[in-house]
Amino acid sequence: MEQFLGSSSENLLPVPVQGGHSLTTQQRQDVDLSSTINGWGSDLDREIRPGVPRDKAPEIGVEFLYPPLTQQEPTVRIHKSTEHARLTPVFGTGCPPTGISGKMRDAAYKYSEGRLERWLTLLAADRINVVEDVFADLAQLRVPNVFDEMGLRSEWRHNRNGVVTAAAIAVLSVAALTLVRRSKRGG
Amino acid sequence: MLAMTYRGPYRVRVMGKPDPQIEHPGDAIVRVTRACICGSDLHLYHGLVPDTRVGQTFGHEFVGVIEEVGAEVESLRQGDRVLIPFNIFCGQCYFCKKGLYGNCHNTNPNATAAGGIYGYSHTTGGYDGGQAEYVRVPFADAAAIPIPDEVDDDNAALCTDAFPTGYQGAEMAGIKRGDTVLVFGAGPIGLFAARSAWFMGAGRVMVVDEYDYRLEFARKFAQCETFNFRHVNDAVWHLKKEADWLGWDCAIDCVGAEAKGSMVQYITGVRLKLQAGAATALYWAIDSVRKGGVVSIIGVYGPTANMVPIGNVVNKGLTLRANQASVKRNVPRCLEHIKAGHINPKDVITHRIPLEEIAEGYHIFSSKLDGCIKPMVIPPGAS
Repeated sequence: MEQFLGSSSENLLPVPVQGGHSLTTQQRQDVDLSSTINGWGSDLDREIRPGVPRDKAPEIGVEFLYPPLTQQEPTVRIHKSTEHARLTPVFGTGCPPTGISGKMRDAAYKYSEGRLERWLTLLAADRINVVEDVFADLAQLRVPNVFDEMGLRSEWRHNRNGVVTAAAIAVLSVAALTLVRRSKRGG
Repeated sequence: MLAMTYRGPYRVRVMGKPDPQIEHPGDAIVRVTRACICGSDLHLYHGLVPDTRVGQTFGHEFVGVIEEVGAEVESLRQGDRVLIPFNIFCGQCYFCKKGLYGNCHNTNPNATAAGGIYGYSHTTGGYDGGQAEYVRVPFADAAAIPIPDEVDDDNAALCTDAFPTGYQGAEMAGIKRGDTVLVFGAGPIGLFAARSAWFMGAGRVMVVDEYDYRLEFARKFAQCETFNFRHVNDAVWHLKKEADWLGWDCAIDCVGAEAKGSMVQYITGVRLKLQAGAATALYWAIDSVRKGGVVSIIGVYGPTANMVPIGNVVNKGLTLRANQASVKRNVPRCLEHIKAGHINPKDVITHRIPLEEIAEGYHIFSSKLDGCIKPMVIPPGAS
């Protein structure tokens, strides 16, 4: 069945560079674009690539999973995956768990990493955390400057037509809704 | 110090925070001179990464100057110019000894599947990041890479993630001389993957995206062909046709969890969180490569599961390769390419934003305003 084409790829794509389709394997392998593309083929020798061979070190014992490194002392509550044999030697200490979201995170980390409960609970905790933060701001008599925090000044600077259009749609929608409600009351 | 802090989806605030302290004798404190906003920071910014806590400072692409070192640090001195790979790694565990620094087992207590990453939620260790004046760098002897005199801070900053990540995306695709290479995503990672594909002897490189301005940039920066999937109603059909129905030798997914192009994927993955992001680019990559081809995944996905046609992987005999980039392993080669004049990574920087105005930087990058490809953040006092 013939496909419907929104537009033809022939019209979209520039002329393919050398080495492209419709060449035989031999022609493709003979390609040399070094005169037109800066650096072409400089890593053609696979041995030169940092990832080859994939595992560079010889086999070493699994005991090196946790080499004897100095342990950072936890000064705040640190969540440890149930799949870790021990607390890692270092960790971040910013934003320790607090409030309801903190309790939710405590609960989430009781599940192993393959469990959906863990990740969905963490995502839910993230949303609760945002609400807690707004209340924390208000408790300090500070109203979050959402306009600035969302960087919306740049929207006005770089997408003025979009802002005006969105504002016009919003105003017209509100006006239309108001008219509909008034006409219903009147009827 | 002044630092960016996360307040919730699409909201960041610049505010004063206590300066970071040495918390482990292997730590160093770095004064940041350049930082970038990465495409993967947008996953945090959009609220997609679990355990992203209010108050965290993002930023895993930064360079700076050593300000203070812990008692166990031997190779660094105050005043050294260093670039810091986005991975946090010990340099001594089973994985680090194999050069898999992105898989270090000793820096992320919160999960074993991912190593530590600066400023990337508690799912990767809960460390504060570099979109600030100062940052704590654990295992600094292993992590900090001195910046050669002939490499400026802008280029060095792009060697902390974007360039070596794109390079590894191409490397994992196993490119051979004359191979046809399809790159999904015309953001910085896709651009560097496309350039790196040429270094590895590709015969043909095509970049796929939805934004014409990004594809125009890709044509110039990476001398490649481009394809806008918004202009057609069946992207894979066109891509197969472009490859004479054989399919492409390799495909590199440089998009990850917020791919566009499929309403079902976007709603279930991004809006409803029923899967770990929208895997449209990966889906198309699997379907676009030839039988026996290679799909390299360097785009970031969430920790749960995604809908991809794994049956096609089996039936076509594909090789899938994926990882977080091991930046420390790739940086020496990337620096050689810069010194040889093969590439000038800072050409991708389109916006330079003072740290104080970083909220606008996030919005511009997220909303693809003003032709944005890569925003760089300049802390106060950095020249």
